[in-house]
Amino acid sequence: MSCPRWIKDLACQCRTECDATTYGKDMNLMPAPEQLRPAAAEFLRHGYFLEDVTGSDMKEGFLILYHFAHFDLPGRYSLMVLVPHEDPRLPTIADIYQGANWHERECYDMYGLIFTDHPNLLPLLLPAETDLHPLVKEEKKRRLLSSVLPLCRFPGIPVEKQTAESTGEDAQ
Amino acid sequence: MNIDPQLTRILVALVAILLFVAANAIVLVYVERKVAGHVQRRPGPYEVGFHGILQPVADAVKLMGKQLVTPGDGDRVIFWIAPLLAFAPVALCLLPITFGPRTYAFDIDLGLVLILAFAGLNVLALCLAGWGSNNKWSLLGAARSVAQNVAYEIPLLVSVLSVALATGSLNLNTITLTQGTWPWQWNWLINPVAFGIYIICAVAETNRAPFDLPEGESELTAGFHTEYSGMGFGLFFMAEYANMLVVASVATVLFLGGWNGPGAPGWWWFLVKMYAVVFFIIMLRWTFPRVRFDQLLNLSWKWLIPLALANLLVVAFIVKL
Amino acid sequence: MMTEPLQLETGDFYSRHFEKGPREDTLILNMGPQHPSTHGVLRILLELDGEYILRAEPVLGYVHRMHEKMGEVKTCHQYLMNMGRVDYLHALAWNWAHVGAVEKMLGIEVPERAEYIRVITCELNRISSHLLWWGAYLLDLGAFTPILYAFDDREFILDLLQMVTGSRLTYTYNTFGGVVADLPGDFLDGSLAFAKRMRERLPMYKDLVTDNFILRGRVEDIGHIPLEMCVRYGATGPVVRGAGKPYDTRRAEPYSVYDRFDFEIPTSDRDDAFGRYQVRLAEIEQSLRIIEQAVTGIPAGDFLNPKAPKKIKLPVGETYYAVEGARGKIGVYLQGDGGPTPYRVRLRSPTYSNLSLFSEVAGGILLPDAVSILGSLDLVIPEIDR
Repeated sequence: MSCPRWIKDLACQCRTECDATTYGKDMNLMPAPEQLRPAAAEFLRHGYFLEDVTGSDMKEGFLILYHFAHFDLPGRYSLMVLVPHEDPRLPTIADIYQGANWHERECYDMYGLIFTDHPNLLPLLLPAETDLHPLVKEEKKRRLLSSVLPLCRFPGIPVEKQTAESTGEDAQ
Repeated sequence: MNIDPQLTRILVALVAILLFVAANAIVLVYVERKVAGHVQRRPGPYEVGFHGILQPVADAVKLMGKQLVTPGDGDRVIFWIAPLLAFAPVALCLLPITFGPRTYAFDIDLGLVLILAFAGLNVLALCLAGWGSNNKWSLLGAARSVAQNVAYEIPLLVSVLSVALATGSLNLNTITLTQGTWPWQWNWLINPVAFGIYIICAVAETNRAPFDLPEGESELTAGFHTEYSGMGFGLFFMAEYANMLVVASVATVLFLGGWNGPGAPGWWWFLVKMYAVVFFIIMLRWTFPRVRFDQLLNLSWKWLIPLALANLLVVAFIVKL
Repeated sequence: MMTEPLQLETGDFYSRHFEKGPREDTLILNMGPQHPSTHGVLRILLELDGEYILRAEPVLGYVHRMHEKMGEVKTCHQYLMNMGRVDYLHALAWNWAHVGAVEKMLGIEVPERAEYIRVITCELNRISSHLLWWGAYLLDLGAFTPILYAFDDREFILDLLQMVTGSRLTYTYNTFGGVVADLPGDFLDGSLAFAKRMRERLPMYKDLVTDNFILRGRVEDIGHIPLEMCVRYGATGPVVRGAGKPYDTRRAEPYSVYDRFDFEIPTSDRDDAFGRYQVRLAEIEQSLRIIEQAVTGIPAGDFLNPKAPKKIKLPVGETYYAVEGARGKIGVYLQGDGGPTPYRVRLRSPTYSNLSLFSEVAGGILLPDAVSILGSLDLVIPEIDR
């Protein structure tokens, strides 16, 4: 299934086409945090709706996935942003996609991610006074990104943190 | 000691009316729940007594046994006066009603005015209940009830006035006597517009569905009587049924010929017609959804009042001819 | 962990937003968490001017049970029970989403008979969910009777599904590679009899309720949710179909054997509450069509793939599987790392996205209209809070 040209032209660190029958999505794109907002704006401009904003805790940092789909066109695309554990900040897309408002609050709740310029970054599901972030994994349970999602080589991550298998892979 | 026979008559009638109202409240609770049940494809109360006939007794015992809770910051006096005020005027309203040719408390020329005046006290009770509860939901219910009752009193008065104009008197006895024995001689066919308007306003005045916004169960949790427990709630409950009786009696006298009827005219015909109206009001509750507040006021101000006024003009014109 | 000081303000939503700059003439009211018409434990903070809502903001979290964390500590088999409790009204769809995601990742085949069984039971569940929505919506609007009629019809469905799954509400019937048990003898005849009976009842509901002028006044022109709002919030299901777009996961991302059945996707041009009402009632009719076609066409065979692995270990990778629930598009996103439990389970709940547009829709409307809009969104709070 071929992805539209404009998606392939989005500025990001790496992208991988996936087999939709196994993975359920057509392309994983990995923008840097500052490339996230233009990419999201492009998706909105083409009429894609925001399905989901998910977080996942990896050894290299928190991985935030945004899933987009369209009401008329087939295909699901996802943007993945990696932020380090020590400084989990990334820009919000709540002014582009208002539905992301709640999704990002939930990510803040569960992982402690800070979405800068979010209009209302309060815990959504946990009590307001909580400082517990339940879905953050213990250090020994965290896995490397490449051992969970062996689809992209990830620039910006020191080579010694990547496993031997993934450095040998071809990403694009 | 010489007691005025009129006074005796009124006192005896008062006691009889209070007993009548209390008995009716108990019976009507049962009737309403049975009607609701059968409309909803279920049997209604069934366990207590034969086919649930002792259910109202069980309910009364339960309500009397509950603790009377007063909200902490509310005004105690106002809070507890409200249910009493809801129930008290009802007895007065039923005094001038002519149940039969000789069965009435006293024959007063302004019977109709007396009834309409005391029916307005109902609003005061709701208002006090909403304010004294110290609860924002109750306050909303009270505010709604004031607007609703004020809006629907006007077409009620105007439609009743048109009947009085056609008859030439405000005396309930006279109004009954001018209607003949047969259904086609009663006022509901002579003045059908007034009858329709009266029924709609009567349902709105008693805060019954589809006009039960002040109590608006699914929006305002229980509206003005949210904070009442036990017998306080019981009094509001009984007052609602008593009010239904009052408006049904007035409808019977004004529009359905009072105690007239083919065969043997008397108080039995009155009761049959009154209960028919009550039954109709009960059926309405379980059939229709609730109107929205602005639709309620629109109905009154934009439709019923002009219609009632037009009706009054037509009746006045016909009477003059 | 954080080295920089965080510029977050303290306090909850009320004290941060609603108390700042309150006007003299407005009333701040809490609708819920215990309220007859919030369909669950939902709290909505309202700023009212008389009966008009100036601002509304839902506050969630009262039924939060950490299903996503449970997904990380339980094995896939142990997690099957959780799915019925996320949205108890359309439990079989959530069952299907989770089971389908795992099957997709592992490449487990599902025999044809099992697919047909899944379709029939899921559509029956969809009808029972829509019936309950209908009854509860009318109860919110003040009509006390239709909910009992709806429950009368639901009894038939619940009896049928109890025959098959053993439960009346929170089903755990789908498993990896098929379904847990085969259909008992009289289930198929019972389904056809139910479809026949339901078809006779629907015109009565239309006459009694849908054509009632008071109801029309309460739902027409209320809560306009245009298509571009659905795009911004990710609203799916009857909300987007009520806005005119025939988007249904059964056609957009076909799964199982739905491509063999002939059914329409009802839409409505009016994007108000009445449009969504009509869409859901029409969907009951379409589900009946699917059930009848599936029952007449169901093949004999296995109900469970005998070669499905008994111990499920998710391989390294990710998958996203979506099904069409009664409320919208249900999605389950799994990440596996080769261990006994999944690495990440994400439950994409349709009601979550549908409710998030409430603050935007609720500005400037009347309080009874807010109740009507909430009812027309078909909320199940446990699905939002998970």
